[in-house]
Amino acid sequence: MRKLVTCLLIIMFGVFHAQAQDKTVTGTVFDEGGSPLPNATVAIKGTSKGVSTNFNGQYKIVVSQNGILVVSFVGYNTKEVAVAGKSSINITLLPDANILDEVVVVAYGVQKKEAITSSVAVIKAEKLADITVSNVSSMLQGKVAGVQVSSAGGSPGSTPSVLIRGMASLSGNVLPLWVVDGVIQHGVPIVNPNDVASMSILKDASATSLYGSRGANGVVIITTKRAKIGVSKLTFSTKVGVNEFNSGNFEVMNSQQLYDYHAQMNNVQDWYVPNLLNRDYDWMGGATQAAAVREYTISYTAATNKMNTYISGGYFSEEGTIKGSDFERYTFRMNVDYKVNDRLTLKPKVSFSFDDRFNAAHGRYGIYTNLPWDAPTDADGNVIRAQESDDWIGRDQSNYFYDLQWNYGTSKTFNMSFNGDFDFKITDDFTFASTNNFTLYNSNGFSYTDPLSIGGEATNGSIHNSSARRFTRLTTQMLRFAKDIDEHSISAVAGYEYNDYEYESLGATGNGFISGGVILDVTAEPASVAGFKNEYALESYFLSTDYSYNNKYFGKASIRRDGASNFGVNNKFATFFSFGAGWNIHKEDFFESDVVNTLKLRASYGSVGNRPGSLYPYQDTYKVTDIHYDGVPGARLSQFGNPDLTWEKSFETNIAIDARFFERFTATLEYYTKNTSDLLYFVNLPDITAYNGYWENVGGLKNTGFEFVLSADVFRSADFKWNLDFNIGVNKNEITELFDDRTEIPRGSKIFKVGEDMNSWYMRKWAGVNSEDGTPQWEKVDTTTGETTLTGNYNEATLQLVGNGTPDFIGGFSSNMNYKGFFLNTNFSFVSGGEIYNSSRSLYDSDGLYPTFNQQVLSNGWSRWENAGDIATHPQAIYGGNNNSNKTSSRYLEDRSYLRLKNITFGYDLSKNLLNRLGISEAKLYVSGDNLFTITDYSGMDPEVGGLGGSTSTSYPTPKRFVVGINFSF
Amino acid sequence: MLKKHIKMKKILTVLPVIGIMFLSCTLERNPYDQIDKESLFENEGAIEAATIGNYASLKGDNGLDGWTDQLHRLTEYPGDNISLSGSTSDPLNFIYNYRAITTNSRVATFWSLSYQTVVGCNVVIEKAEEGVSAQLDQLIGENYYLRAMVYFQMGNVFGRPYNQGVSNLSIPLKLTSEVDDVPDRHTVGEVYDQVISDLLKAESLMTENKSATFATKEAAQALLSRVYLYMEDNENAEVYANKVLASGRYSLLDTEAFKKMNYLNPQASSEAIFSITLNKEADLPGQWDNWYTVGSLYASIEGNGWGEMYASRSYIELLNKNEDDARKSFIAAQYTEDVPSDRKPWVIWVDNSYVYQTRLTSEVAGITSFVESGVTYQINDEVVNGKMKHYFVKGGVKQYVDKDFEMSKRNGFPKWFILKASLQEDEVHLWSPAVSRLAEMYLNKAEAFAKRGMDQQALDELNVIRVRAGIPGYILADIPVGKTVLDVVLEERRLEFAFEGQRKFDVFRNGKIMNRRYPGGHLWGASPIYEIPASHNRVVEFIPEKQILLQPSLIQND
Repeated sequence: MRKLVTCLLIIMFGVFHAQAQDKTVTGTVFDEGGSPLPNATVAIKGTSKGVSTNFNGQYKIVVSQNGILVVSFVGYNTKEVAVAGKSSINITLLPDANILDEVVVVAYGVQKKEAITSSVAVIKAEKLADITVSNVSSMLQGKVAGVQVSSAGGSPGSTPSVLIRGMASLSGNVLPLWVVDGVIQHGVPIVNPNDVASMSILKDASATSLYGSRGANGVVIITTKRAKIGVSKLTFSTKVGVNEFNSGNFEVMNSQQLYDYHAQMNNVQDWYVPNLLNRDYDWMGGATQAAAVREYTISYTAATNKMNTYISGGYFSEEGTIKGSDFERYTFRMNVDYKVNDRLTLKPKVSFSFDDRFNAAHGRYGIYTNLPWDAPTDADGNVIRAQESDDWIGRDQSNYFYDLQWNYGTSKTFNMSFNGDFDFKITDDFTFASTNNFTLYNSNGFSYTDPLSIGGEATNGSIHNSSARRFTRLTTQMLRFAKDIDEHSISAVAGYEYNDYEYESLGATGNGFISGGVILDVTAEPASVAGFKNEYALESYFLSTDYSYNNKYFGKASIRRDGASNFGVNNKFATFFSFGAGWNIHKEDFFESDVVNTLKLRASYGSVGNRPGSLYPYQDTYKVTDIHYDGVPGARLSQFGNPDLTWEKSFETNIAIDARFFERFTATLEYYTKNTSDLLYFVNLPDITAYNGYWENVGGLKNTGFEFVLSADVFRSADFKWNLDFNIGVNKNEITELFDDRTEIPRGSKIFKVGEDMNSWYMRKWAGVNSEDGTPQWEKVDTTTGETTLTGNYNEATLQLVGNGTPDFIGGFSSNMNYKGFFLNTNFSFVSGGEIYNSSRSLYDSDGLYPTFNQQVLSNGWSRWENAGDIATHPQAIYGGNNNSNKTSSRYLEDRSYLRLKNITFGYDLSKNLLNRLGISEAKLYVSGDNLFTITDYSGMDPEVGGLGGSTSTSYPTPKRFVVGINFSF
Repeated sequence: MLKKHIKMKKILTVLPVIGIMFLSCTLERNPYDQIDKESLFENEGAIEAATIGNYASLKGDNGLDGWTDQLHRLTEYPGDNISLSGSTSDPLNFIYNYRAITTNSRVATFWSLSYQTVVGCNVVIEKAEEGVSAQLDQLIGENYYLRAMVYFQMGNVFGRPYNQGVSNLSIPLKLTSEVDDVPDRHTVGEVYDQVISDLLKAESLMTENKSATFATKEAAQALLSRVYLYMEDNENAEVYANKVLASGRYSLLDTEAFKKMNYLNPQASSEAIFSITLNKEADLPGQWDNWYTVGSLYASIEGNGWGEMYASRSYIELLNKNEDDARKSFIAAQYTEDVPSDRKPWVIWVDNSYVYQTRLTSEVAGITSFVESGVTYQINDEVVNGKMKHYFVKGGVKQYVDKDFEMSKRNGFPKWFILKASLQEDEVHLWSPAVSRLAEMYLNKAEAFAKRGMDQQALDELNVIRVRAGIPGYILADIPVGKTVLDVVLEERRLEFAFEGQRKFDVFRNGKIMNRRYPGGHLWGASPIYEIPASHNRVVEFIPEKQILLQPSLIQND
């Protein structure tokens, strides 16, 4: 009874109070762009009453006349507005400029940026999608400090290699792990760049430690897009452009130049006549073309309180700048977050990609080696069969145009990934999260060799079919805990993960068929069959905890135990751990500065591992494939096993300062040192043992470096915005220990030497040209006295350390300008230092050893010896070669430094007012150019195509690209 | 509250089930392309499988890049029967022109495959028990034979000829399968002793009459004959050659069959004693495989092959001594016209700079001539020592020429394709290199007789080969002035075994000079080498540089 009376009194009081002072206030909440902000919270200050804005950003609330409304939304600065008797109040919210409040995707979860204690770099979608390529790896170039992207070549659909903070293994894997939406990938995943919301690059051991034995080389996490709450959007984007072949500083001779060169060589062959000057065919021109590139993506996003959907489909097509290679890719992705009830959220995801490649590419080797005096067709336009032509001068007697009349190859790859994920909220503090993924990769290849072609002559034509299939399963079961008690904040995740992989391939070749047949059944004779299979599995347990006090002090610790199938029974499991701490100095009471807005210090230490590439290194085996004699199968000694083989271990320390100045400049300075030991090393045995060698854990490697990132908002007015970004990474790689306490282990033209970079070149040192007789010279070092002399005898020259293939520093800078909707963005990438071995020069710069190959035009600063007393870079050209001048030596080691304008984009963002009348919410038009301009001394075609270790041959250069694009959304 | 509790329980029970669904797993995975060594030797057929594996090392996987391929390049290219029409980026270039490099990848492969085979034989010899059965003894004997053959050839490549000193360094002899056993270089004498000991052991163990594809007692005897010949133990060279002849298992192919010897699978040849056999179905399966064989450098057949190395001028001249020499069938001159009546006549000679000179001729009223720079040169005939020779006069000097028909050229070299390493069973470049064939027994005996001054017996053996080759035999009176019977025997050996990898050793072990004064890419470039005496440093190959780096106690050749 007493309860009832109290209630009534309170209600009466409240009502009375309200009747006396309350009024209804309505209005709309907008974001900084003027769009309505649904689901924003409008609360009454000092009370727990509040409402949410609806789909149109509108709200209606009953509040006292002199009350204060508190309007807030995630990611935006909270605004307080006094009611002051008004009945209609519109509020505009501005995004939270404090970057440290952002949420970042990290290993197995998300974390607030200010709480991060390890080294994580984040790139948002807008900064990624500037260049026009089909893969996401290329988009990282020059954008993240310490990340080096090394192109495999400019052919359509080719994927480059990404290297984070230098190489951390001598012979194991050095490439980072890729994770897409929580699923660890086998290799580099195929993701439509337009589907990417953000990429997190985890660089140090404490960030990657949760990936245990796969984290030693860094981790790249791709998170695909989700819808923004309340906004339903249909987006269409298209890019259409043209690729242009870019041969850089490399040029082969034309008829006149080659004729003069042969005159220098005193060519006495009977085919060497002045008539040759009438024959001048440009092989490079005939093989290259301006190639079309096209991309279309359509995506739909919608989000309500219950369901968040992202669906996208894309098409990408690219022709090769070298004729005859075409690439097409179709992608589809669907992400759904379905909130069944307050506890359970289902998160199924489906994605697939389909690649279709056609290959009848002009032979790269022939394009450069064929002579301008040989042409592919005769006067009547018939394709010449070089071997039968009496007129053909080129040494290979090969005209690739002949077989290209009929022969070609195709490949089709289908990759599908399905996630059955869900989150279950057990209590307020505990959530169970489950990630379950099946990925199926299927690839089919076909190659056709016509009976009329030279390749098909002996077999009367040949058809080859191959198919490969990869099936991967991954399941991660996690239990998450998060609790805030006063100023203490603690969170943790514990998990179990199992991942397995199975690969199977099949191939068959049939010979003898009538021109035009394409299936194996039409062939008369089965020629060969091939089949292969392999598999691996991993099982792990992990635990990670984060603690923060008052958003000022942060701490993190994690531990993971991994087991893998490719280690012997003795060492199947290993444990990895990490610690990290962070301190928001700017939040301290003693810290007062007008200049420095935020200042954070963080340090971390962790251990990670690396599995070997070889799947069964611990067994003693005999090889049974392709071993047969007179049709009887046999077995032959193959591998010397090591049952004690274990993981490579890396221990990394990372210290960094993040700061923001003048509300304009954001900078991060980072120092790290990573020590890798128990390196997986294939110890070479002398051939006399009948084994090449065996795997052993021996040796140590150290990578130390600095990274510096600076971002500056130079201008930030309403009309004009200009932002500059700069990043640079310096990494020093050093071998600290080698097998058997040795100081050096030579391996071909490279050497592993304690105290030196692991990619050190070890070869005869070129000492220029003898000015008296034009012969080549190398250095010869006396082993006893250490005295250096010059010798003209290649075999006597001493093998020496002559530089390394690793760049001294890498980085990039970009500029983004926006004036009343017009924008101009540029992005540069640079690499400095490091030597590439340009092995193709032994063919094209051979001083006469290959007189019937075309040769390269001497680059700037090069000269050829002709008379006694000449000081020249190139020895005398002699028909038949000059004393081994083109054999492996530091002569062909070149500086791989370059500065390249990766992208420049100029466009216009149509004004919202104009668009709203058409029912379009956003539209953007632009023109863009990729790789337009490069500064480099490298004499080859493309210093970017240099391989991670710095060795290159006749490469497919990265093309220049001109693109026009439109994006618009409804 | 109770309801919540039950719900929790339900979920907690479901979770482990989900987990278990994926826990079908252990972490054990095994390879599919290899067999664990212990498992292999538990099998009954293991000894045979391992022996087949040793033969397969010699042949090469799928018939490519095997031991026999590299051996051929190392033994034939330094000879004087072949001429490279230029230069090549393939390291065989440096084997050919005597400008050896320590980093030659073919030499490195040869070294590596040799030891792979030898250790494979050692494993069988260690694991198999003698005296259990004739079949098993045969297999063990085959392994002894293969080991001996490999060491013999390695010794020939890296060690100096026997008569230059038994204490010269040869190759390391590895006789166990222990990984820790890494011996240093043994001497020439020690290597020969081991080879002979292994061959005698093999001879005693092998009793089965297997085909020429596998080693047999007679194969061991045939190889022993050659080994003794190289050692200049002429009595034993003759004894073992006779053992093979007396076995009755082999007979020389007749002249017509001999002309097509390269087409025969060794099992179909009555003359083959032991050849490393490539199988028509199983070997060279790939579309481009024909391009990477020994034969592909010698000839382009049906569009397959490089066709860059031809018969040398000095070999062609030797063949031309007798018009009907059956060995001409292994050379295919590439005339520009297929139909003989369409062919354009020309004359060909080699000038003082060892460059081929050719001139198309025309015949008017029985007189052959050619025109050059407005001057007409008439081709005259004269008989010298019973042979017709042709010449023209320029500047008062007689230039002798050969008359032939226009041929295709490469870099100025007329294409004399070599077919001896191709066309087995009509497959383009399929070829089973012969280790021993019966003809060698006759020539071994001839040389063994000649070196003991038994000239007539030497000629008797020699003439068997000549008659089979369709050319007249020698009588003592016919031996040309300035030549000995031994010279004539060696010349016949050159004719008969051209392109079979024996010439280099035949020249140097007899203390002769390798004469390279004929057109070829070996004379291109700066400092060409015209002659190589038997004492030259480059009579032996360098030990692969990488092996010395891995085993520093190995001493490099000079």
